[in-house]
Parts: sequence; structure tokens; C-alpha cells
Amino acid sequence: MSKKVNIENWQEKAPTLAQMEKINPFVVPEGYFNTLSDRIHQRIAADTKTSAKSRIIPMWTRYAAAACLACILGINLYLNLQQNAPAKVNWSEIPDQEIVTYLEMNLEDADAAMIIDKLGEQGTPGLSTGASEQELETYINQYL
Amino acid sequence: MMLISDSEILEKFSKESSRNDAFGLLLHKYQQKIYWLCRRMVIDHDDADDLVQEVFIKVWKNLDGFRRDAQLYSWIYRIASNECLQFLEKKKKRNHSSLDDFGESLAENFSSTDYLNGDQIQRKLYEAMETLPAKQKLIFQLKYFEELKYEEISAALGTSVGALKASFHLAVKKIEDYLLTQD
Repeated sequence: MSKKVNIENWQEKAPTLAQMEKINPFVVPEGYFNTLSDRIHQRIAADTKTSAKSRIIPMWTRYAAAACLACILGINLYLNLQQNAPAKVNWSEIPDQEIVTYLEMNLEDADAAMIIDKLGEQGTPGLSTGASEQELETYINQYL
Repeated sequence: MMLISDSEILEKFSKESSRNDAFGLLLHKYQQKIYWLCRRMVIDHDDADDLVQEVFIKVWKNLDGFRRDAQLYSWIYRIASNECLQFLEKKKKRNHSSLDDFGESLAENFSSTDYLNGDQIQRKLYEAMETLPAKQKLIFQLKYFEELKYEEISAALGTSVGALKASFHLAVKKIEDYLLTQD
């Protein structure tokens, strides 16, 4: 209760401030307040004219811009879908040597050596069988 | 000229035919209050003049959407307070210093310029106010000079009454200390 009273009665805590007269010590140019309303009205009028002008031109351009944007987005979306469509790869049509070259160039040395060794052990014809193609595809999908 | 009530101003403003008259009445009623609020916050007359114009342009643009359940003067004070705080923030950034330091540099300016009339103690009061953080200074002004109730300040600033009381009390203490210690 007493704390609340202290906060409300700030005059007790600040007697110097409390005793001061509330004089406005600032000065303004002569006649300032007589012209302030007019100047505010003028600025509003100027602002309204500017915004009205800027509204006339963009009305049709806004629609055109929106249509252009929609077209661009549509074309982009279509192209992206085309590009990202999963490519069907028929592994059996790829020559073995091409796969070996690809693996040599793109795999870590140890992996490439191991795969090439395996190819050597099993014989390259194995690549054209269904099971080996799947294994190869799984491996490539998993590690490349 | 008798001051018209806020509700009458709003009523007139809602009609296209009397909109300009209503705004003229609103200006007549509030322009000086808002000018002095801005002037005490930013000190410089030209800055205060720019701010008061910006405030009333915003009032004009947004008065249509003003909700009648709020007080018109609180709403105008809110716009003015935001404008002042934003102005001081921008000025602080331009000066690359904290708002507190900026206040102190303004306080130093008082002693070397003719911003103020009045006696020495009045100058000291305004110097002391310049050492307060911007929002605390605003709260002090609204309470001490404008003599608004805490509830009214709360509506204008969107700050709780408890926080306002604490802030005002702290401001009063700082100013009292400044008045007693600075010669």
C-alpha cells in the first residue's frame, strides 16, 4: 500500500521538480500556428494529387504485369517438370566399357577398383543380365 | 472558437461533404498539442514542424479506418509518439551512437544554443530530460507536461499501466538527481 502511494506521489521523491513551474521555454517563429493548418492542408492536397496520378498509370500495367508474371511462372514450372521427370534408363543398352569408364572417373579409387575387379571376376557379360543391372543400378543410386 | 468534441469531428469526417471541415476542426484542436509533444521530444523547431505535418497526414489518411471504440486523442498521440520515436531512432543511426548517448549530446547542445528561453532551472530540466532514453522521455512528457492519466498513456503507447508507472517514477528520480547535482 505504502509503495503504491510513493509511486503515485512522485512529488515526495522529487521536491525540486515538484516545485518547478511548468513554463514552456521553447520559442516558435512568429505566426507559426496561424499557418500550420494551411501548410498541412497543402501537403495533403499535394499528396492526394501525386497518389491519384500514380494510380491512373499503373491500373492497366498492374494487370499486364500480373499476366506476364503468371506466364513466366507457368513456363518455368512446365520446364522444371519436364527437366525433373525421372529419366528411364535402359542399362542393358549402355556398353560395359562406358560404365567402367564412368565408374573410373567418378568413383573413389577403392570403389572403382573393387567394382572393376568384380566385373573382371564375373565377366562383363554378367552386366547384361537382369540381376547384375539391378545391383549396379542400386549401387549407383545409393552411392553416386 | 469553442473546441468541438471528438465524436462530432468523427461524425462530420464520415460524411464526404463535411470531411474537410471536420479535418480543419481536428487540426485546430490538436495541432498545438502535437507540435509541443514533438518539439519537446526532438528539440529542433524544423524537425518538430516536419513531424507534426507527417502526423496529421497520417491522421488524414487513416481516419477513415479509425475504430470508434478507441479515443481519438489517444490514437493521435499514438501516431505522434511513433513518429517521434522513429525520428529519434533514425537520427541516432545517422549519428552512429546509442539513443542514450544521443540524448546526452542533445543535452550538451542546450548550453551552447538558443533553443530555449526561460531561466537556468528550466534549461536544466530540459537538459535532464535529454539524458533519458527516448521512450522514458516520452512517458515523462505525457505524464508531467500533458498531465495524461496512466490509462490514457497506456492507450496511446500500448504499454501496461504498471510499466508506465515504474518508468515515470524512474524518470522523475533521474531528473531530480540531475537538478540537484548539476551546477
